[in-house]
Amino acid sequence: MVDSKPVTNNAVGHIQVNSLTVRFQRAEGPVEVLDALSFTVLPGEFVCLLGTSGCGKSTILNALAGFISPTEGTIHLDGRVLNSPGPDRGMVFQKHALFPWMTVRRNVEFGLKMARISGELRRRVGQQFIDLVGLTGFENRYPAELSGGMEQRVGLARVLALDPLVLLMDEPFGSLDAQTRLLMQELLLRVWDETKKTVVFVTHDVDEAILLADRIIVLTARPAGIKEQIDVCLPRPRSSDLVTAHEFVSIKQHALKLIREESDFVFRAERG
Amino acid sequence: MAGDLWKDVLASCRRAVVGYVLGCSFGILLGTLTGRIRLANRVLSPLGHVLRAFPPVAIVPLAITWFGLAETSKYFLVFWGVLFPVWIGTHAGMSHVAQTYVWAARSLGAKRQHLFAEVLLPASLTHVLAGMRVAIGICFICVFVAEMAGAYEGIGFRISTSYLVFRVDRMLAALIVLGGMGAISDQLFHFTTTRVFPWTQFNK
Ligand SMILES: Nc1ncnc2c1ncn2[C@@H]1O[C@H](COP(=O)(O)OP(=O)(O)O)[C@@H](O)[C@H]1O
Ligand SMILES: [Mg+2]
Repeated sequence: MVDSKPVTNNAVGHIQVNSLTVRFQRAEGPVEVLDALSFTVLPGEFVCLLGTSGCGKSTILNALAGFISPTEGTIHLDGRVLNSPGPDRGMVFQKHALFPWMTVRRNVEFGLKMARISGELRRRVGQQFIDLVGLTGFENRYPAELSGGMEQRVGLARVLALDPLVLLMDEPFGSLDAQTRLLMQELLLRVWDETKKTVVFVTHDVDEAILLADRIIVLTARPAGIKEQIDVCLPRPRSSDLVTAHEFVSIKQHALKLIREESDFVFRAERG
Repeated sequence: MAGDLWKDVLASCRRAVVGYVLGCSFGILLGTLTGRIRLANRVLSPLGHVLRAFPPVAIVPLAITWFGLAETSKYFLVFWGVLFPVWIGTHAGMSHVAQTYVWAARSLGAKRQHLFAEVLLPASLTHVLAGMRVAIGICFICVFVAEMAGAYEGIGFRISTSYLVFRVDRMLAALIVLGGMGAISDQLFHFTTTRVFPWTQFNK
């Protein structure tokens, strides 16, 4: 295992989550969604958080993004405590997060504008990332005029344009059809290969997790804790053909068993 | 005679525009406060709803007592009529802005002071515009009422003086002009906003 002390003065995208606990106040009392969760993501690593729906995956990402504050515990990025949102962590949401009042170009340039980059440079950087995700020619469309896959590509380009240390992705392909999802996964892998950013990718899809990740963190049902970590030692570059490979299938069987145990647990709990 | 009509139209338009702009500005400000800040909502909303219950027509005498027969009382009356629908519309929009828009903007580097112009206002725009469009009709009612109650020029003044001398032709002409001003303003508003903000027309 690699050294787990905080890395200092070195912006590389090293995430350390220590005893992260999140409780929400509800009418019927406090609900614990995350319970003393600890994990590390190494610089340049692609980690998938895999868990059943409602287990607290989005809550983990929202805490990493700085949208919600931990009730207890800390999150460090390169040794620095995280407590507010910032452009060093780019979030790609599941859906409906593009600004519908802006064209593709203005969505992608939004972060640059906030960083007070203007004129020719903003236009050029924006275009570079629109091209990167294959949306050349769609610059002046509004989000409502795009397909789901195209919207997610804009969502990706929008955060990549700010050159973040970390990509946070919350089931970004969850609402796409199977074909589009495969294309998006391959696009993401290609982009990741070029940029080598740290990625924390949330999904409930076992195939997706294995295809993308270096390491899968399997979460328990609520409150979310770590059930098991699976290293995915499949060679890269990977493509969707991999799903029939022997190693892929054996990881999948194992992961499915873990997920099954958790969803059975939830199912029985909900039945009373 | 025709020159007089133009003078009256202009006077009425000026009152409509000044009052409308003031009313919209304050309405949007108030709606943003009550729609986004819980404390402001607790304090200002009940007060607003009480004040809203006073019909603009009923406060004419009060407005004249306070502000006199000069322009201020006209502006105030139009302002009063426009303020509430714009406030209600803005409040409805502002209180339902999707959290993801705000989060996305913040994580893309937007500071708190950018949120209003970059996210909150555009995200609530369809509601704000609905309130503003309702307010156009009310605006002309208020101009008319204010001018009937005491003015030296304006379409309302023209109608009331024509009535005193039984000039039905002048009354009808002025009435048609008044109706035309309202209808044209409404259509112009609709035409302009759908072109400047084409995305408000998408149904997604
Ligand atoms: N702001 C909140 N207030 C109260 N409960 C919340 C809040 N956000 C999430 N939850 C609850 O926390 C649990 C986990 O939510 P979430 O992190 O969205 O799960 P996942 O993304 O894994 O589906 C859910 O039961 C959800 O209802
Ligand atoms: Mg979720």
